[in-house]
Amino acid sequence: MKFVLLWSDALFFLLLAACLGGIWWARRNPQLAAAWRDVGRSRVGVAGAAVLLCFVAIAFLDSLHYRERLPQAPGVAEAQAQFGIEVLSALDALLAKQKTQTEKTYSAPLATHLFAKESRSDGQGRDFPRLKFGGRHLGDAGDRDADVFKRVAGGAVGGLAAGLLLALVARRYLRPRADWFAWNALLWTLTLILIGSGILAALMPYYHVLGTDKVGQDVLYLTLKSVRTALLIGTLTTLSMLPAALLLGIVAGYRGGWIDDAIQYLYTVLNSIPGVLLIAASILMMQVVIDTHPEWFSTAAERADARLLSLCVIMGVTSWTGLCRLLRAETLKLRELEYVQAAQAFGVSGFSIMARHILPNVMHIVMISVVMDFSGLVLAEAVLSYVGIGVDPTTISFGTMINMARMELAREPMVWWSLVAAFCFMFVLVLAANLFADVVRDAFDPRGRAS
Amino acid sequence: MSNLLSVRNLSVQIGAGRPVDDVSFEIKPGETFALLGESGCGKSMTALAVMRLLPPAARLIGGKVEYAAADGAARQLMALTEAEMRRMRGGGIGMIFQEPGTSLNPVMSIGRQIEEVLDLHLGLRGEPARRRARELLDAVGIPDAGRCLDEYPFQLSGGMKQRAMIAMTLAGEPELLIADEPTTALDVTIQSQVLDRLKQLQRERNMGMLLITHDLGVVERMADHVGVMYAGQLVEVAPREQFFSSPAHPYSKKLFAALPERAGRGQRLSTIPGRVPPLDTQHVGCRFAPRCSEAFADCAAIAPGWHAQPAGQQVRCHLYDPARMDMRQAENTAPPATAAHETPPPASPLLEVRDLKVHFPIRKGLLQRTVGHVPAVDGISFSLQAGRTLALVGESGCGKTTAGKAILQLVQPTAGSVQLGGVELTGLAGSELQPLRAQAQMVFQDPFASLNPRMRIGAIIAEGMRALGQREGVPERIAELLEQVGLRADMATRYPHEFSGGQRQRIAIARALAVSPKLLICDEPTSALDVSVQAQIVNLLHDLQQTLGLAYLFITHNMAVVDYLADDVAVMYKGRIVEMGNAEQVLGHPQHAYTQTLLAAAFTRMRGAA
Repeated sequence: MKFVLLWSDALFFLLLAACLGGIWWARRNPQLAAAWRDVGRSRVGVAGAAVLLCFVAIAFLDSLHYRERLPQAPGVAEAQAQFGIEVLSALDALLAKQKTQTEKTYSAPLATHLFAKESRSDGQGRDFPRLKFGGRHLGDAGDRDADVFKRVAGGAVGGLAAGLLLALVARRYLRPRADWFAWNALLWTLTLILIGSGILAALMPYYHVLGTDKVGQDVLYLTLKSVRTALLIGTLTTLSMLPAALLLGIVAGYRGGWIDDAIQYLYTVLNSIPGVLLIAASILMMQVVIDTHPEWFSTAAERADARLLSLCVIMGVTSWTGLCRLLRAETLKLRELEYVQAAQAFGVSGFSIMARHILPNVMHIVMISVVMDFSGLVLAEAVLSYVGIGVDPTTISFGTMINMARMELAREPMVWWSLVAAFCFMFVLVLAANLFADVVRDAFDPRGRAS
Repeated sequence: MSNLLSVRNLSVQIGAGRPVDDVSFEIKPGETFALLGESGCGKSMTALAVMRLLPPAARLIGGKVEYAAADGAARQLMALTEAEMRRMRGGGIGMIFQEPGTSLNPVMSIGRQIEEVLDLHLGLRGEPARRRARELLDAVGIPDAGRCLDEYPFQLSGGMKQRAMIAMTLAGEPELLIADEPTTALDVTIQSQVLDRLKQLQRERNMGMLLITHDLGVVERMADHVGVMYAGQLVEVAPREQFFSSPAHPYSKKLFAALPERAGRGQRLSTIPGRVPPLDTQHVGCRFAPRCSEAFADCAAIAPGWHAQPAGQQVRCHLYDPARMDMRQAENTAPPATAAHETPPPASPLLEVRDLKVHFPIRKGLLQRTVGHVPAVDGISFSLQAGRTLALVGESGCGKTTAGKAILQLVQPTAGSVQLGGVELTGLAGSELQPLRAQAQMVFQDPFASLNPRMRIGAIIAEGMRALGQREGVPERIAELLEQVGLRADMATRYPHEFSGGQRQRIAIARALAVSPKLLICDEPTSALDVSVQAQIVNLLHDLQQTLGLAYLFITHNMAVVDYLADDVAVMYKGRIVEMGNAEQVLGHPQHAYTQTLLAAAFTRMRGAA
């Protein structure tokens, strides 16, 4: 086995490290600690954070990439090990069954038979063929409903037991140390998640819990793999957009004059070019670069990764205008306030005024629009995939799933499960992020806090 | 004559607090009842309750409001359906709000807005409505009413907007007018014009009026009866003459005493310690007892009832309870000690301004070419000596604030010279100005906008020291400054929103003092504050001048404060100084016509009172 560190993995770990560093720093700074303590006190905030952390954990597992060692070919020295061409992740290893056990084509969630009739091999009319893997243990005559019920109940009880155990431990050992923390919200959320995962774990080895797609891939597997792509697109795009939006927006609003004019012209021009067109042109250019330099990438996964990153950067570079305009307007308002003038009267430099007086007072706008944009960006990726310029076809993402679902919804009878699966996961992810961001924003607003 | 409006035991609840508690009063046709009190006393809430326009959080928990129209039909307003009430608002009862700038729709012409009301309440449409709208605008004293019909709110000045608002209110032909601080947002001279017009209209139409204000001058001019509100309760109700000749309740007396009057020159203003209690306070005894200088044991324990005085005056105070007369010890209301007010010996001027001009360019077109100039400040000259106070007086828009900013080089002067301690300031840039920053500082008008809401008090005060490179002993200095302006040193870790307006203004003063300036430019430092708080701040400024030897350039339109604080006065009009000189001379014997108008408008208030 050989570890592979993709660029996006490196960035993901860097972000995680930055978050951990931030937590360490916040613990030492009493003001920040007090604000985060308010987040910890909020039931909604804690529940949102717990759900978000589950998503991050999935993405983390999916970012531990490796290449498998091939069986030793005869006549090759021990030192010259051969590695598989496919880059796998820890998540792939966990879900090995789901990854490899592909059916022929569509099958409904928890089905034992394919979704469409096929001619029977004995030539006696058409029938729903049996699935190769889904419900195989039942044989031909087994009662599927009773089996599913039994497993769901077993999984739920297991999950509940794990949740209760966790609650017991937390109440005993953790609560006395920090009684201000919203332990109940955390434990309830975790118990619910555990029950859900318990049920999934009980069903997954025997069924395709969320059905299969056109080429017979397990939809649950696709959905879980999409989480990492969605998180990367959401965060990396935002991160590459923020500096430009913050800097240009605040400088334009504060300085005014020809600087303001120049920045306004710049974003008006950028805005008047149809976004998809601009992104398409940039991505096609990147693609040409990638395609003409095959020697840069040793595996297909690395190439797909480069494409994902360039997509993030390009979407970031083209989407800062909206936030920039909002910030400029707010800064124009703040600039006239008397506390800014008071700072000017002290001879505080322009940069310090922007950093100390204006930036903290526009952070709520940044927070709201960033979280709102998050879902928009994931959807934008779907649109781009539709045009054929999204992520690499080998990269699994919500965008490609939704794009596929477009065709499936037009089928009769309708294939609904890929879309519903993608929708549910995205919904939970975005909702959790929104609720969490709301609580964080409130906690950092001194006006909202009790003295 | 029967009552037009009678309010009985009106109570409103928000959360655990009662912003309006057991309020009763009546208004006869053609009469004005004034509700007087500081902000946060529940005056506006009373009016909103009468109109049944309470905010969603507030709940009416008791009381009757009876409205008897001229046609003889008496209605219980609280029992009407919402549809009937809607006809009553604007039709029977009209309301004028404080801020004319925000109570008119900016994208509709004045005519359209008045016609809308006419259509709604009188069913007038088309040409007759337009004619009527024109008559109304004429009636409220808008010159060239025909043109005004097609103008938009932004084309009118503040006073004109308020008149248009009054015309709009009159369009529904109300019999009762509720005016919530109708002139607070206007300049003194405009204020008196609008009040005169309002009084005349009231006489012509025999309207009843509920006037809400914190300004004793307005009350004296307009009211027939006065009700003083404190912490949600009426504490005194009296006919005007009676109220102004002998205010009964200690709170009313304090309100009079807190006014900076000419007679009190050089003395400390009598202030009301503390502030209006917060909404959710559970009152046991008299609500004013904690701030009352004449309080005795019973005041804190037993809520006072009404005690009738001669001439229709009623007071809610134990002092007037015959049964308690003997319990009360004789109060010694010694006059405040006269502070030694020495005129510092004349020296070379600290600040010398010569022909200062600030012209704002008017830019037009794609390339923003300058096509003309607006002269905001048009050649003013004056000098100010250390330890003295120069008041720069004038209406809003006359350029006094711009002048203050130009002296500090916050606005680039177009021409002229500003010398501070003998150093020429105009033309200096960036770091060359640093020494100036330590010598001259500014205190701003609005204490709610002048403190960064995301910074702690300590950081706010330290900002000036940081910017000027003072690094040592900063925490000690912050503590010292906070004590100096009458706050506690441990308040440095709090955020601005935890403080009241007066406390915030103290913090703003501490911030300016942090760099030990010699000159403080105060831009309307008290105009956003209540009367009693204004007196505290004026006293503080006075004390600081005595101890630190500061020179003040006091920019204001409040003649009473000028009269109290200033050594010299400069009157500004349209960017120029039209009259300047010793305070006594300018205020006592104004020469220029504009100064006379300004003073006439400001000092038509009570003389015999207090």
